[in-house]
Amino acid sequence: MRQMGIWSKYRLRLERKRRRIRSLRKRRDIECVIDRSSQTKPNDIFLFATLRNEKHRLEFFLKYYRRLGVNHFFFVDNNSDDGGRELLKNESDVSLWTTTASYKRANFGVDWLNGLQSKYANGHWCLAVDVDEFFVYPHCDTRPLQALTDWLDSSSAKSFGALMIDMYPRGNISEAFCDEGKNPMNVSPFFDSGNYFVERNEKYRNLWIQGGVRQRVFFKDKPERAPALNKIPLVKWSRGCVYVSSTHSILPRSLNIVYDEWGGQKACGCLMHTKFISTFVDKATEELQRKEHYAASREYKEYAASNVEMWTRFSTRYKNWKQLEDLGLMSRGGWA
Amino acid sequence: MKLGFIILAHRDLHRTVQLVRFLANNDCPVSLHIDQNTSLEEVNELMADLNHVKNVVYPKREKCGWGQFSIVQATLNAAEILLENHPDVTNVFMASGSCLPVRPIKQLKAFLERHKDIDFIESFSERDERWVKGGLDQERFTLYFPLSWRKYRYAFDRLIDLQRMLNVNRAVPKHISPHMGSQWWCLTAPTLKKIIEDPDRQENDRYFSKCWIPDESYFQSLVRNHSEHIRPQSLTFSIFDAQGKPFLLYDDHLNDLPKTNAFFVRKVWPGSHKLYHHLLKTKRKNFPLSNTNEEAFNEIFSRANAISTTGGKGQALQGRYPNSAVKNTSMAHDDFGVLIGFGYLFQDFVDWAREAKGLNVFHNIFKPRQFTFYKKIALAKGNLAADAKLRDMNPKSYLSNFLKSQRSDKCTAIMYDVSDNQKIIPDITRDECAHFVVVQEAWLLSVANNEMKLKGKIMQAKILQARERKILQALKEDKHASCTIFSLEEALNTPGLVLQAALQILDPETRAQPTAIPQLVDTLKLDRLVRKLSKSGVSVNFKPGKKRKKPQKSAKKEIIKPYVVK
Repeated sequence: MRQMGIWSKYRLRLERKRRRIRSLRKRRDIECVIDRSSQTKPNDIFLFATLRNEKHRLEFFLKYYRRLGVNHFFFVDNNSDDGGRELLKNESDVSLWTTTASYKRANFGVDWLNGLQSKYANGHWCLAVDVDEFFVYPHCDTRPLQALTDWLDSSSAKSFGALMIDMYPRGNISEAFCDEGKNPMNVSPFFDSGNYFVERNEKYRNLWIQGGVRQRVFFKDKPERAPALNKIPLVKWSRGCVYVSSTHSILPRSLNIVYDEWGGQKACGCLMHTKFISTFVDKATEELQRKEHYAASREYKEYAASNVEMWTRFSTRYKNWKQLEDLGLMSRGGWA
Repeated sequence: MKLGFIILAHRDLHRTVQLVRFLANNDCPVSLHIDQNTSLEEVNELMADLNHVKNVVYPKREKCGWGQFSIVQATLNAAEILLENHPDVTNVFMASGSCLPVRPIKQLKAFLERHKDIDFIESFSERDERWVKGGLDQERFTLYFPLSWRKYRYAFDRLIDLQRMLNVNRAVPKHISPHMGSQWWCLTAPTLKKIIEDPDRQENDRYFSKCWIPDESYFQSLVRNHSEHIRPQSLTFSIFDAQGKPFLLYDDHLNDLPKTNAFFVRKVWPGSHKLYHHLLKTKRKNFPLSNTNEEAFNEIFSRANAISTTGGKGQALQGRYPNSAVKNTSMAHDDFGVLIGFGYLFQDFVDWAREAKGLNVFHNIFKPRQFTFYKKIALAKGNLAADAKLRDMNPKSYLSNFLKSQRSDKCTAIMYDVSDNQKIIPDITRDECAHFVVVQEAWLLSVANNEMKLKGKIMQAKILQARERKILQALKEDKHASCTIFSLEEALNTPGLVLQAALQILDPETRAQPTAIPQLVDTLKLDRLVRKLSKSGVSVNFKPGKKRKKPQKSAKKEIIKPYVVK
């Protein structure tokens, strides 16, 4: 491995400081609706998420993560007008902030979350996910998140990686209708199992993974522009940590090494991404006008242009974590 | 008989309370040592919870540090007070606050009754490799360890280096023969008493207090002086992971637990409600030791150790990105063939191999620009698209995905030619699963048969020749992939031999099966091209044969005759 010089280390340190100050500044953009963080206990696991007009997903989302063992939720609502804010406000384990500021200019919400995390999350294991992402980790059917974080603590690990897997329905997306409170992974149960491409980002030392259905369908002619799927959603937060771009990479850099460099496998999970359900169609129209998304909303454009079929005979139907492990997409590592 | 317990606890005391209460209710006196480092609040809570439980004694508390003598001191304190308060105890079982009984106490008592006077303690001499795997062994007993490894890892290691340099060799007292083994033992009361009341106790304690991890050697060594019958077996199942910390047990292990050959297990994750609920039930049936299948149970853990240390053949995923210094990190699960030059030599090699031989051969998937995997198949299992842009973005990942998609009982092989994308070459030549079969200079045929003018042909020949040299050079230097090279001359004269070599890699069982060879391409223009090339300064190994009969129509016919591959 190429050793980094003192100069580049120092530059990364400066970058980390700069991003941190930025997040503290951006924290002023968000306004507290309700802060129940005083109820939390020292070993609690937190979840941080931003959302906009996704009320229909919230009931199941909260249920899913409560079952895994998340103790407290921190949401930043980006100007929803569908009643999601009111729903969240009444949940007893939710702290909620709201903002009308630009999502894009807050580095796609990362600044807001960094700001909140640096204030509330110090010393806690934190999940940072979107409301359409469902975290799957080894043994998640039998062991709560606390078991994972305890094990990570005892292994002196401070972060845990996950591959984002885009799920899709068979047939027309607009027909994949998910009732409120129901599991979107059931209406959009397919994923691509064998088309992921791994490289390493030498600057931050995180792996850079692209692939899956979005690359196959929406980025056919420019595969290198396809979204990154490597994520570090679970981090033992300490003051000074800062996410760089979404949860793909984080500083200090040591937290990015969620992979084994000496031939072994580290334990890692997946984030099942259920973006492609019927609501995506409306969202595509709306987001095209807002232009608040990454890479100039390319997927939305592509989708609007042609109503594509994502399913093929080689698509895999999602079952459980063991299936993902057998497919080589995640691993239990040394966690027997 | 009466069974007493020594329990060392330091955290998650609510679970320890459950265990102690259970043991006390089973008529077992317990000596409960709680680490002095544990917060007062927690200890008070525990005391309150155990207030009405009889049979529990509390020894003097020590500040315990991992790998240090304080743990032995705590054990000694606990043993002393236990034997003092309960002189009727016949056996003493040493456990931790995070242990759980996998078999009923009743069964354990009956077992000990049957094995009166036997001390169950792992006690292996330092030469026995059963205990220490890597790390310090003999040096545990002959160096000094004043620092805590947990707190000062770096200084700890440097101190050892320094002592090695200075040849430090602390004398072992004559009466002590160093032995090691699991900290979790079950001794008879008389043996334990003899160890505690050893006339040399002070010297023993002084010596072991300077050893490394004495909790794994104090009783294990001294028992050799005081016991009549040692069985070097621990009645507590405990297994360590690759990092050297004990594996934790969870609810999902419940059904497998009876497979172990032990009475207790360690260590249980405190959140395992199901385990605590089931294993601490008052009325449980005995589970005979004869029905155990310990290997099957150990398999769960040895597999996890294998995954975390060597990763598994062909595994390329987000949790594994070996750096270039690591060996044995093939991109493929199984061996695969790379056939260079066959496409130039035979007109329809792939079809022939697939149809006649039922083999898994693919066209050049590294062809410049667009390609398909086979005929019109452009999508592979796992939704990998045959797409040149996608492939050229990351050739290594691409090939790895492709080989994974083709996993079957048949060996996979890809055709590759020097005119293909070269970016993948360093990755395959470094891969120990790759088997190359090369027909050197087969590209001459493609140059000879194309429609270009002579100038273009010469240019092209130069380029292809340079590429081929590079590939062969890489194969020679990397030495990971296997490689069989044939000259074009050999291939033209004895095509059967070349085919046989290729087939043997793909499917070792095809030996001695008679088969028709695929049709060779037109070789009419080859000799002429080679002569022209040599005139313009491009020298190739292939010699245009003066004696060779000019390929005639009849000769060509001869070649396509059925040919027997030995």
